[in-house]
Amino acid sequence: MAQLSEREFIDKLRFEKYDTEQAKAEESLYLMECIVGSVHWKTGSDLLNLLRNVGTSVQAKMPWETTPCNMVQRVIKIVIDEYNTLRGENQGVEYPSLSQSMLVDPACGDLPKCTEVIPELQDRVLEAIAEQKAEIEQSQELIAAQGVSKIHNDEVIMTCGMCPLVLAFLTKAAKQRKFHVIVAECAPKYDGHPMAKALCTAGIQTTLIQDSAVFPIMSRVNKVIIGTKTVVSNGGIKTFVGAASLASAAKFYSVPLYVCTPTYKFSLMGCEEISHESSTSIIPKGTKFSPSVNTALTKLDYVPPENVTSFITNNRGIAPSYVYRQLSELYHPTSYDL
Amino acid sequence: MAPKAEIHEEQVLQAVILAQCEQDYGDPVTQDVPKVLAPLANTPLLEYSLEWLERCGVEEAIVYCRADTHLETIREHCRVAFMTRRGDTTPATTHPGGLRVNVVASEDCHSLGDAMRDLYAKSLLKGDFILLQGDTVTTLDLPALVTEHRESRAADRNAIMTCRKTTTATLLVSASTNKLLLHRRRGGRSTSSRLSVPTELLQGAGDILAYPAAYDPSVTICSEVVPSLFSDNFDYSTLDSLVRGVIEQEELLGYTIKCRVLEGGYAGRAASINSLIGVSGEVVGRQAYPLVPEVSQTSHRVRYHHDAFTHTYWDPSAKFPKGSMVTGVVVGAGTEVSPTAHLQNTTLGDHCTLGDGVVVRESVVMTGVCVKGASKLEQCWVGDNVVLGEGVVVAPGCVIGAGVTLGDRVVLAPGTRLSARPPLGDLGGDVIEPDPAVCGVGGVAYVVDQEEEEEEEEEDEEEEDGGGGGGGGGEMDESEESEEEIQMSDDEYNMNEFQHEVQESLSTALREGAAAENVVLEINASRHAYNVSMEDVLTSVVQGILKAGQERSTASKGAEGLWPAVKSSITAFQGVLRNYVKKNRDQILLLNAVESLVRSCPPFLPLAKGVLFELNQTHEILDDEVIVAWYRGGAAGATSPLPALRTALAKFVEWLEEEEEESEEEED
Repeated sequence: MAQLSEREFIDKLRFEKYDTEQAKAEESLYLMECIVGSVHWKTGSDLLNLLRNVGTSVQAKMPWETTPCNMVQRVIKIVIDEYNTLRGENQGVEYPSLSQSMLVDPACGDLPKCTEVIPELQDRVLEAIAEQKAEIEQSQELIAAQGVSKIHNDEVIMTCGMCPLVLAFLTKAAKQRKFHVIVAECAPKYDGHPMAKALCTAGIQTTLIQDSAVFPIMSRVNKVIIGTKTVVSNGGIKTFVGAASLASAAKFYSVPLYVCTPTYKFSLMGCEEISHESSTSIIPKGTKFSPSVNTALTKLDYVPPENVTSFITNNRGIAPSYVYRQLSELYHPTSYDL
Repeated sequence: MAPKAEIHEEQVLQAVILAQCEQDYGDPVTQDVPKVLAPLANTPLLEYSLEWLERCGVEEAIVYCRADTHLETIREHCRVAFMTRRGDTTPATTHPGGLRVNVVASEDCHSLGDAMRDLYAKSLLKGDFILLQGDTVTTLDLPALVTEHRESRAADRNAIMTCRKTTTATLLVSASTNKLLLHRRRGGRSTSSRLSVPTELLQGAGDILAYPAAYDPSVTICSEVVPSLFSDNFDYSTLDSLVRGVIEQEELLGYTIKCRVLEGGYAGRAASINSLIGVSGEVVGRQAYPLVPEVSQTSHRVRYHHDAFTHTYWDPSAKFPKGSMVTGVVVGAGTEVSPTAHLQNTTLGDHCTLGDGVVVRESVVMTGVCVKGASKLEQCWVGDNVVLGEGVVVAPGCVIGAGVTLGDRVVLAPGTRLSARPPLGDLGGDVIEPDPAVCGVGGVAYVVDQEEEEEEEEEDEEEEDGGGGGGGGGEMDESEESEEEIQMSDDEYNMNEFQHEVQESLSTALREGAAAENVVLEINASRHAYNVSMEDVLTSVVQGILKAGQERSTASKGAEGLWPAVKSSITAFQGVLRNYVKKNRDQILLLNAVESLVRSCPPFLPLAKGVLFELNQTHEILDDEVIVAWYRGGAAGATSPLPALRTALAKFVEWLEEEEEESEEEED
């Protein structure tokens, strides 16, 4: 593939050329591979600065695109780890334990100084990035494989709109279990329609309902399974519009809510920083409103951590209150403020 | 998006943005900032077009402007915008993808036609291109249109494909081929609600769609033939004239125009200040998504916070009341707005200060403005660094140029234009004091005279329907007031020269007995050379013919009487007259020309009757009804015919009227 430059990547993001979050994660990893593989840096600090620049510019321009920022921070962590390992091998310094890194104050300033020039750093980092890439590619299958253990026979499952992960999850489970799925159609995009069709084709008994019927039907549902765009740092999620009311209904009826998410969607940002308003495209063409009528169309909904039961990730299931541990494993504490 | 053709030629998608060809915002504004860089929701207008073109995959944008004081600003702006987009790479390298901006300027670009001719001469346009006006904000799906255009070009040669939406031109489009059959722009003073459609139009086409009111967003996809068409015909000055010309000469040239009504997307033209405010309101209401105010179009960073429910955008450093009194507002950096202010649908620039109780509705306020308490601004434009005192009331339609200071309690009448610079034209060296009646005590402001500037939008220009083809100069030009203003002083000079030349050609032709077509050709050539409007041509021709007769009689030293000479002159030139006089309006012009000639040359007075008789009865160039109407109603225009002329013509007109009655009676 040709070299991807930062500008092209940001343009592609801006013009919304990526369909799925996975595509964004893969492209951003590819971008960072190009940066690491290039000759613009000598010391670890240079590389960290380059990577950090990518992250800050994406964040400044599109604060709602958390996946590329997550990937940047992941690679920063990889670089710091590899650097420490290599230095540790050379000098016998002990690798900091998990509890020690948790005690490090994230506000202690900049990224660690990695000023030694270590020739093998580049290769090691590239290897680690390749591993990360493989992990991303496999995340969908790994999540889907957990379906069998989570879904039992004769259960009623509710979902909303189209999510390829959830679709894979359910279709894999359907090979061994027999269950019903209720799909909410999720206006104004009406994602639920293709989702229902796909589920039907997989042989699952499906019911399509309108969004306003979610609350009344909720009493008969055993589980709610949805996908998400981002997992925010307190354990809540930022996802499609309609999820907040879905989650509240589930909480009201004490129905467990599972969120299928791979690890690259775990973000260090808080829920207020990620917002994205959209156009007024729901208004039919040709209607003329007087200027005193305001129309608003939001793109993202926030579900607080109390309403989420568990996250189903590639490794294991995580409760919202343990998201912080996942974050500390994934990212280096000094990179929390990019 | 550069589709590679099968032949190894890369088709670079180009776009032309016309930055300064048409209507301007008017004087105090144009002194400060070029129209394309005027801020719409705190972003220059040009940025919207460039950003959207980049999103559509256009690779080269040519910004065409006039070479005046603002050229450097535009160049600098494009270069800076270009650099920010590229990051820190040098502009010399061509990146795959991304937009290259090229600023082209010319001295005498006064219309779209001139721009096209210049671009054709410079061979900058290589293939199909998108033509945009500089003041358009659009989110139309350009790539789809371009693909459609290219497909239809492969099937059949066409010249242009345009896209129209809702209101202001009447279109007849063939349904099956999307071919444009008839185009008439609706004038603000359109006389009739009827549309006359020639029958042959209906014969050829299968089913026809009629759009009584289609809005032109001024976005056109043109093929490479279009600039050459402009350069072949000097009288095409706007796209409308090209459209009419192509439709009329379809059999000759084989070009067609396709037209589509678009469903989705947004397009708005900020042609005048009022429409700027209107489009600004729509952009603030997010109708032009993804071109939204909170994302800076140059650096693409999210620069403003945004409240969806009141559609307010504010810079983090701005202080203003975020309550319900503030709706549809864009607030720039460092601006301070008092908590008791009311803001509605306005744009405030950076570092403004608004005092207590200020009410601002539907205005555009630029940077550094200070408005003291209890002032009211409504539908106005306020330039940079303006200071308005307490209790100032600015009525709708006012334009306050940069640097103006208004004292306390000044009330401006609607439509006032103020500038901080004293009006030019006083070369005496006196310093003109600002008039306290205008700008209050301690104020600095001068009223800018309007002269003939019209605030109407382009659509209100009068159009004459194109007369049939035939001859190079058969088409009527639209009279564009804006063009003529600029050429004010040149105009008179040109007119004199033109009249002189017409006179000479007519006299020569009379002496040598030249054929009518040749005379017409000569006259048209002169017309193009001096850029004269058709009305003036007609007037000059008429007067020239009569004067040629006079010359001949004097040349023959009185052997021929004046009247016979003039009569023979008219007979000789009847073909020429017929060429130029086609409609009632032309006839009235002819009559006016005769009248003005009579006024300037008394010897013609007794001949007037005879002239009219000739033209009416013998050659049937003038209609009876027209003469009577002209006579009865006073000449068209403000002045009434000369009393002497009136008496001279009285008998003739009476006779005409009698004839009419007789013929009516006969028909009974």
